[in-house]
Amino acid sequence: MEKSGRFPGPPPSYGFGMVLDANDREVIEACRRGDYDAFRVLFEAHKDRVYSIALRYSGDAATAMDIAQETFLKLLSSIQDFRGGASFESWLYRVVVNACLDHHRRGRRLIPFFDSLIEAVKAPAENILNKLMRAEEEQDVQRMVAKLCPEQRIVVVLRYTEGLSYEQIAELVGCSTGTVASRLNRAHKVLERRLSHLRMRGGSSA
Amino acid sequence: MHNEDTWIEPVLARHLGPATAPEGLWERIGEPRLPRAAVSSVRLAWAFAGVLVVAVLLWGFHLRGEASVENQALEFRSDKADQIQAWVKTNTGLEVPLHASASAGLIGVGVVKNGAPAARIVYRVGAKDVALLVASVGTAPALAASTGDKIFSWTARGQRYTVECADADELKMGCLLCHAGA
Repeated sequence: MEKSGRFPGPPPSYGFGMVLDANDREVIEACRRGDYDAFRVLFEAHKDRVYSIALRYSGDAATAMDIAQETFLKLLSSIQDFRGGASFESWLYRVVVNACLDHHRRGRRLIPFFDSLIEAVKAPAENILNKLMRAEEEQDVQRMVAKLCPEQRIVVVLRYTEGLSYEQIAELVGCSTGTVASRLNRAHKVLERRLSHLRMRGGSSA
Repeated sequence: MHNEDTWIEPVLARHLGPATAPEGLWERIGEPRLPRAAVSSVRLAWAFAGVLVVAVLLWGFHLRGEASVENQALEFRSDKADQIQAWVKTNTGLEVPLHASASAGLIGVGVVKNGAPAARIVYRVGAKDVALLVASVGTAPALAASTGDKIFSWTARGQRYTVECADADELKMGCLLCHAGA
């Protein structure tokens, strides 16, 4: 896995939402029959999660849209392969994680995103300084995360964007929890060094 | 106050939290268009395919230049002038004066049946194959028109001789067929 950069292997057997409720199962079955409306339901349920991972991984809103699009098109085209007994959630994670890594592998240059700055400028004059500082801080964090190597970056994103446990990340990434901890630790060290100015500032609170 | 060793964690948690997908995402799914990077890949793939096709065509032409002369079936293979001469006489009735040449090695001969039979004698000159078509004068124009290669023709003793090469620059090699010392 380390070399290929993709996360192979059988669907995780534990750790994620193992059991689909009847409604989910029905939606997925409808998707497998080619029901486009059902796919819309699936999309609405998971779009934010997919987009969040893509955005935090790429650091760029336009790239995140590309990755999210690829992820859902992949889901649409391969939903037939999804086995009902497995965790849909973990399958979804795997697709989006692989889409992130594939996008990275295609050599797409990741650029810092300025959406948050734009949003800050659009904000009411009240607290605008705080918002600008926060936007700047977010931009810095996102830019530095985007500079991490893919293996560390995806672990960071799954941990902080999705709040997954070490066990869940290890299962998705196909490595041991020790490796997850090690990658996170290394990522922390790198980010602490690169974002040291935020520590001096104390970090602008929300 | 953050812990000395973990101050980065809350910073990451604060700035890497979930985001909301833009409204336009479904439109991109519902009316799929290729992502920009994928478009780039597709363009690259087409460009690569184009280059490949051109390369294959060029290589094909190159091979054809080298091989078309030889690939047409040789019915008798020999590097001996007297054997080729005898075979031609037997199968076409043509008398073809062949000379031993250090520069042009005989490979073999076949019969071209396009009206009256003609002999097609193939030589190896350097790294190239050169064919010498020999026919009686009456049938020679048809033979020349049927080839796709560069040709050079002359008439001698009631027979039409046509040298067939891959390109014009190689026609001079045909001179070696008769003028060994050239």
